[in-house]
Amino acid sequence: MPNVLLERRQAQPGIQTVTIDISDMKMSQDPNDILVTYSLGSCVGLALYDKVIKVGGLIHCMLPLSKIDKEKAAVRPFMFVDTGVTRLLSELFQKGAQRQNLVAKVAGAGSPLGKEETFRIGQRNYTILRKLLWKNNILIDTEDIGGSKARTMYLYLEDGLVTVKSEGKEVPL
Amino acid sequence: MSRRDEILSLVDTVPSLPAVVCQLQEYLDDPEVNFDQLSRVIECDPGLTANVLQLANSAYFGWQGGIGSVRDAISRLGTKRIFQMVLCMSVAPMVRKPIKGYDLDSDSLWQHSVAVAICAEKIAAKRRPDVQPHAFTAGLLHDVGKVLLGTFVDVDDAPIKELVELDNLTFNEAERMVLGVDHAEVGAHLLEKWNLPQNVATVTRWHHEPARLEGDQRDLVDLIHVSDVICLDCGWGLGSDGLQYRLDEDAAARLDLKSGDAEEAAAQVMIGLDELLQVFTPDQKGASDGVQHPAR
Repeated sequence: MPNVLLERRQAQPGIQTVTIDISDMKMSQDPNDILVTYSLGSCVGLALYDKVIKVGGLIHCMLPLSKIDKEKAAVRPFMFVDTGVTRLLSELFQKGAQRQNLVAKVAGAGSPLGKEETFRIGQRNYTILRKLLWKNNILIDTEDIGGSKARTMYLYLEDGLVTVKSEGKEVPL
Repeated sequence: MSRRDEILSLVDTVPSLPAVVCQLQEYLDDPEVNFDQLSRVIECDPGLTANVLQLANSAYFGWQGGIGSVRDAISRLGTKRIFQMVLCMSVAPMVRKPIKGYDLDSDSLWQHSVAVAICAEKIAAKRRPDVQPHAFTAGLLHDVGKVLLGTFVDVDDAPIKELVELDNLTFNEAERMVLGVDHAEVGAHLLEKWNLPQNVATVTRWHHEPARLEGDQRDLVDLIHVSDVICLDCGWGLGSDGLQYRLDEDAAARLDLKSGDAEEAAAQVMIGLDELLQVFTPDQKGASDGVQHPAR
């Protein structure tokens, strides 16, 4: 979908953009909502959308596992992939979403230039996310991961369209 | 005049830091000065006094609710901490604005600066207690050069990005190739102009190339380098330069940091930012909550 159509879509009357900060999650069932999260570096963004009841959620997780600090995980569950995605799934199910209707799209998990082999935060985020989704019988539909560019991720509640914007270009995922 | 000279000549046009910072700096080096003299310097400015008291009572800096006067703050938290608070207040208006060229919105560079300050301080506490007193200040100031260089990066955006993409250069190496100077060096000149401690300027200069320094300075530059990468990784201050920097794995090894340590530090930064930035944006309930970003 060309950029111009996406921009027009965002500019339509009644459309509202809801921002998800680092280590946060938001859900919506309002077709006028566009969920957006900025500054995805090595963090992972996961958009889950039930295409039948049209409910969706977007999460921006910073770190893979909550075991490094259970106390902080209690204060900010969405900081970690394991606690955050589990919570997102359970909240979506509470809203009536069905596992088999969920479409999962992933963006982020980048890394600095070169062979960064010390921290590998992006890689670890992605591995844990994949494992967790797999355990929940959810396959990743499409993804835009790795590399060294910053990404912004959008979820359009009207139809579940997910786009990724990087270096000024927004493209469907 | 070369491009480099043109850019560096702009350093002189940047306003000085408020007089109170310079005065405090002098007093910090003077063993004869007592708490009353120090607190009088701050109390001359009622706005600054209120802000220092708010910071002193923030969860991050320690004494929630118990500090009622500047003198009290100095005696409980120490003169170094008070200097860091005043510096925070003085630097905030300069970095809390959109930074062209790096595509950073008005709060991004500020968040990044505070995040690196917290990260460096947390890692220093465990790995390099000797340089911990400088970690917060150096972290806060390491990227200040972006404020000046941004306009030039904006103009030469295409060739810089081309070098990063095609020649596999880091973003600051590409800045140097195209502009003759990178944001790290510009920052160092600015800090020298502001008469901030020389070690902080030197560390700023080499925060992307820690191997260039030795001895004590290497300890501090390792801390800032690694903290900068961790905080960019986590998205604080991520602009159009993205993650286009290299982690010096030797610096991480010297600090004995593995992935778990980096993640632990990042989690501490997240909580620390919540506690600290609240003071600067009292109308918001959390650090990063409600920050409006332009569509990048």
